[in-house]
Amino acid sequence: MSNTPDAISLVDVTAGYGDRAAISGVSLNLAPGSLTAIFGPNGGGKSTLLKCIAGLLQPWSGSVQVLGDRVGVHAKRVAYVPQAEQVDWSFPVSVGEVVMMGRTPALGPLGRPGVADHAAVADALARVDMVELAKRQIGELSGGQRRRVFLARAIAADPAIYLLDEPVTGVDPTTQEKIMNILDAEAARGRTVVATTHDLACAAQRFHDVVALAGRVVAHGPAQLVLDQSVLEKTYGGHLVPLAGGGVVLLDDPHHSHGAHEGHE
Amino acid sequence: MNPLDLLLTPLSYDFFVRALVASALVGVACAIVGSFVVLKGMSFIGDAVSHAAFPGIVIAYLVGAPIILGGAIAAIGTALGIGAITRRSGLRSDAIIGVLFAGMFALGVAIFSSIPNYVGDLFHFLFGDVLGISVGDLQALTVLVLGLLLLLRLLWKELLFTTFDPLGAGAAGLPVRRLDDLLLILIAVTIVVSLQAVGIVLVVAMITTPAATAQLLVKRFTAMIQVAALIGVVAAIVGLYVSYSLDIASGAAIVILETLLFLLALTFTAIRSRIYATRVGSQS
Amino acid sequence: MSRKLLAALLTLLAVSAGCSSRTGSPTPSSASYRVIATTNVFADLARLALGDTVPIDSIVPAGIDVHTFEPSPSDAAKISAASVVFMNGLGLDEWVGSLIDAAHKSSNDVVRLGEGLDTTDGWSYLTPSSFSSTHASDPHIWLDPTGAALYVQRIAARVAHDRPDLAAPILAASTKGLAHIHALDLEVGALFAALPAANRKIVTFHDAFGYYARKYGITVVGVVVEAPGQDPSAREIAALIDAIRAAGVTTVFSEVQFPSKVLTSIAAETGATVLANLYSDALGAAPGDTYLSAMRANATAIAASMQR
Repeated sequence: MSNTPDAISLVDVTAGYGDRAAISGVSLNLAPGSLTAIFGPNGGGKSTLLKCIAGLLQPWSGSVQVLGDRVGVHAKRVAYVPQAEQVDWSFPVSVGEVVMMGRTPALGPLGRPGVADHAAVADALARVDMVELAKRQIGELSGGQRRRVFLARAIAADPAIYLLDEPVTGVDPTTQEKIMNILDAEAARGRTVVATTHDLACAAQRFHDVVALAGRVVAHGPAQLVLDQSVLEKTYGGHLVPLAGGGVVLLDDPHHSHGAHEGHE
Repeated sequence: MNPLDLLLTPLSYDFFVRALVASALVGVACAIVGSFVVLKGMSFIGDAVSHAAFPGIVIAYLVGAPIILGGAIAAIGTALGIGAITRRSGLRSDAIIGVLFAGMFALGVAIFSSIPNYVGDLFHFLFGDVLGISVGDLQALTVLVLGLLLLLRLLWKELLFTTFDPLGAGAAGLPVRRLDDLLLILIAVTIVVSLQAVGIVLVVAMITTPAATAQLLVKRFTAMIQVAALIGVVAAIVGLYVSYSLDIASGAAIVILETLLFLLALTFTAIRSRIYATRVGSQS
Repeated sequence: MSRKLLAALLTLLAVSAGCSSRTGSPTPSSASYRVIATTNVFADLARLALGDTVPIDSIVPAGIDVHTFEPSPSDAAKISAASVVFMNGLGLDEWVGSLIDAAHKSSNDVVRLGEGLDTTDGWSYLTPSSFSSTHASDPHIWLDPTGAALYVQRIAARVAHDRPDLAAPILAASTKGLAHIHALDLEVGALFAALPAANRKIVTFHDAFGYYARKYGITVVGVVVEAPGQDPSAREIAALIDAIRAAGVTTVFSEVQFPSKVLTSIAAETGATVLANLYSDALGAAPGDTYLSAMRANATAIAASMQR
């Protein structure tokens, strides 16, 4: 085991909304350069966990450390990509403007975009293949294109940590491929990538590690864990339907609301 | 009547020139702040804050303090209160806003009615007194608008990011709550200073309508603010002239003009998208 | 009603004071007879008419505009306790009607001092073409001392009718009061007659001085508001500024109960001075606390402004 400190470290974290805990007693360590998918049922706390790491939600107990310090200290080096439903797509901004928002932490309070920033934006757009659409208003984009814009915003920030909430849910295979390639490349460069997902196949095939989350950490290990039936049973519980002749079908509609407000505010 | 005369005669009166400048400044300030209000769906809060300023104004009037101070305290307090309640309850609390709005206004009416007074002043609070604007008022208004523009220029990217994507902005380390509160304060201050020109009842229109019109016409936020400001200024100037020619209340004339411009923009965009759809349809 | 006739009636009543009570409307009991007037001006005229024979009260507090006054429930109590209500009428103080209804008084208990004077005394009303307000006739009759004298006579006649036991002292008081008003009239008349006609121009806040101007040969160049509670429009302000400049008026009179930014604006633009010391619909603190002193103060201030 290497001696590099963990990029993300949670110790016994309990957090939730109102009076309902979405995650309890979660302890987790993610190393730099890891490419981790968090999966689990709706209401299992995936978005909540991500928000705790992003500093958007205060845990009720436990500690969250990011890049060696308590959460928030290094916020400028964390890029958060929200779920698609949570963005106001009618907002009058262009693709290029959204990506430039990623440079805000780097610019500081009174800074104005300079040559370096425009270069970073251009570079990010190139990596997601969106250079021609730089001036398009975001509402005019397809679902896949929207996803890529937000990824470009994250790239432009040149973060140490990527936190992505459902980055490939509901996108076409081509876009999914593009996005995963980029995340792969970022992890290879030493960035820490954490994503929540419902797509178990993608988790198994494209991520290095997975975390099975059902209110608590069921398992954390190499991506193959996703295919482990006992892990699946413990994670999804009654959502598994055994088929005649062996095998199971996992019933987990991403839009099915399991209990109250998972991930929504 | 010679059209040039129509334009120039009113300008020979100092009070009219001051009213013109004041209305234009108010138009600009409201339109800029209104762009944020409209995009964040906060138009109701705009109305609530303008009504909430009333008890502050009346109390200041009673104790002889500057009216703007009293109004600002009440307006800012209510705006921040709404912000805090919205965050705490986590819901879009239009019921809570409605309650605060009506309650504060009723408080103002109750206090006002307890001082037997010249009804004209109530009229001024509700509908503005732009024809009575003094040089001092104008100076204060200029300072406000310049301050607003300066603040906006300095904090533009932070406000943009926070307005568009509060989660992403918060994760990136921006002080989202403080920026939200700052925006609420700017809205409240703009409203209170604009009250002397258009009054409590109509200021929400000055804030909402030009921005809503601009949103129909352009696709970039920077352009939207500029178009809204332009509409605000033009409607203010033309509205004042119209009120002069037709002998009607100036605040109402301005708001009616802004509403007409909105309807025009609506019609224009409807026609434009109809043409576009037909063209696309005929190509398929 | 002429003064001779009034004197005759009062004497008759004084003589018949000892006779048995007549049939018809009940004679108000002497112990609780109270007079109430809508404003302190009318209350003071009532004092001139009645001396201290009966308690006199008024409704509108000092410094408050009578045109737009909103009565409160405590005012209704005052009306209830009153035996007769003296109001102006002609649209000045119609709000008292609701109080009167609430107190279950009849119209017999109310005297409209300003109405019907053309029939009884040959008074000539100013109609809307001759003044700018929205009232049917200009109600500000009392600002002309001749009109005030008519009010005093009416007040004296009514109370003496209700209280024949007091007819003698009332006659004495009203005779003295009328003499004071007559002296005031001569004084003010002389003051203005000494000024050249070209100087006799004023601008007031609202259109209260129509009869006053008519009496003393003054021209009201303009007023700031057509009716209290209505703001002037941009064109009206422009017209007033033009009129002030054309007439060379150097003073604009505001009134105690009307704070106004528009007035200050107009004065600044025309270089006129704003003076805040005219008494129109209400009396104020000394020296304006009685009708006579207020009228004298007005005349002094106005005449002084005409000499600039």
